[in-house]
Amino acid sequence: MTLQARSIHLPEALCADAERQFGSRFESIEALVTFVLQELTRADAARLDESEEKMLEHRLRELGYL
Amino acid sequence: MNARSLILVTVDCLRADHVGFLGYSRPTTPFLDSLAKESIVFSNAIVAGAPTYFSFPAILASRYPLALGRDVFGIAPGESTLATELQAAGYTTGAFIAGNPYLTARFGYDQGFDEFHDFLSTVADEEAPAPSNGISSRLNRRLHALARQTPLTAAAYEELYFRYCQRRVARENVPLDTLRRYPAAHVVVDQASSWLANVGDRPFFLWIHLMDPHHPYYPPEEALAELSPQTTPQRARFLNSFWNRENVSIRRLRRYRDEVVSLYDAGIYWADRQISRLVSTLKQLDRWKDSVFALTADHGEEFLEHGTRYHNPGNMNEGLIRVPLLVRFPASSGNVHKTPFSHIDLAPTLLLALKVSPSAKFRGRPYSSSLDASNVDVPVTAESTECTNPIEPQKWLSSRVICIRGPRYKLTLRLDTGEGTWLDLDTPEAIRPLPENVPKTIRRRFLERALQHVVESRRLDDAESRLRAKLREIRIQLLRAPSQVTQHTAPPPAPNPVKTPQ
Repeated sequence: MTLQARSIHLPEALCADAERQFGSRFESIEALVTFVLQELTRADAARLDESEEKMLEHRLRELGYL
Repeated sequence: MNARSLILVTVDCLRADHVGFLGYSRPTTPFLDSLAKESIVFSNAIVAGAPTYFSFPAILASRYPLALGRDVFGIAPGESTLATELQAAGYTTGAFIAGNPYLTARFGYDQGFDEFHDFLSTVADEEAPAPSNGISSRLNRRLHALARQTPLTAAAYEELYFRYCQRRVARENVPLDTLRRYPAAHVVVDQASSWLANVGDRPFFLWIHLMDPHHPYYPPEEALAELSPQTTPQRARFLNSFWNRENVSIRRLRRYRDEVVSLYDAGIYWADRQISRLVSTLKQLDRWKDSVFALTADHGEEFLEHGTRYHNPGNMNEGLIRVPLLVRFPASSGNVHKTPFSHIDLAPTLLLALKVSPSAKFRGRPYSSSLDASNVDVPVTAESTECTNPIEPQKWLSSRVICIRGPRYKLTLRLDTGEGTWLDLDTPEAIRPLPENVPKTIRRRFLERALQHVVESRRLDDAESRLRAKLREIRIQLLRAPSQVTQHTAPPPAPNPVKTPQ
């Protein structure tokens, strides 16, 4: 199955700067941007918040308070 | 009238019940005791999080520690703090932080400060010697590997090795100053005083963070002579080493507890002495009478009251979360505020005292004596996770612990297991669990408060701060550890991309 991708346009100077700073760590600018977006959209912390909220609601319900 | 200046002194690990003005019997804080008589003393000041990296977002930014997400630490880029608000109001701002690695520019604490000194380059090297490849070291490692085969031989080896090390170091005559991991208070106060001398007539905000009561407990010998005259430097070294041992029974640790506490108290005494010197400098510069002065701690310290030592995250015991807080306003008389007061409310309180409007982003409210009576029964909230080191991303995503702390009752909840501990604080040591006959209304209110806190703690308007903090973290990771990021590669480009941006 082909992975869907989206094209974006970035300022050349910005890309050159990023390549200078991080070029040795990523095979391409696309890889760097993918990494950054993956890190920013990670939902692990939010999932923990949601499960904690559910736990508290469950506890209040069990005790007849909700 | 000239604009008032602000001095905020925070002392790491300072317990509320170890300062004279809150009832401690030893003379650890003679200067602060005298200052307390002309200050508002908050006898039930509660941190919003512990330890340091969970506590300071509330102290400086009036924000709960997990409000931007449990994978964000420190102050977010662009976040409003006491320093940024006062700098914007025309204040000269300076911070002198005694070598705490979590209160650094890396975590955003330099924002809003014209001068920021973290003293990290002056922090002493680790006490343990570097590993060697000599014959004795190789033999030692071999013995250690053999001993680990059974619990009994492992314990015996560990004990013998500890005694061997202690006998070796006992022959060394190393001054306590070289063992200290952080600059002592007099070093920090000297630098801050030099800065103050150059501030001129401008209103200023000075933040000093002292580490003297923090472990390892190596107070200056002058303080040791005052609080614990029978403790020699060699004995202090042994006590710290023993106290730091793992796999040692509580019974054995208790034998040295009182001596270790004396070392800790001597650190407090030294901090108090240097705070007195700082105030003398302010008086000489004629800046004291127009200044608001606040002293507090980021958290306390434990000495086996509940079987634990130091100040571990996820721990909401009273020795950690209840801290000293006094605020001296110019030309005011002393008073005691007894209802629980959260650090969340400290920054708005201080800004109002300076007649500077608190940021709308601050979660707390300014203290007002008229609120005292109406707030008698309102509990405050503290939270943390079990993250032991915010510098290591793999430790971030751990479960939350929340504490709802009222004037008499206290609920601590572990939100992964749902396990809750209720305490009646009116009992000695606050250890006795809540009696069954306490009305259900109390239990319900505390649980509802916990739920409300979790639901409200992350607001939509924090999204930008979170984004900026996450980007800072990503940048730090990328600059530090190339091996951690090579697994992330871009997807191969599709021959016919499905979407193009509008």
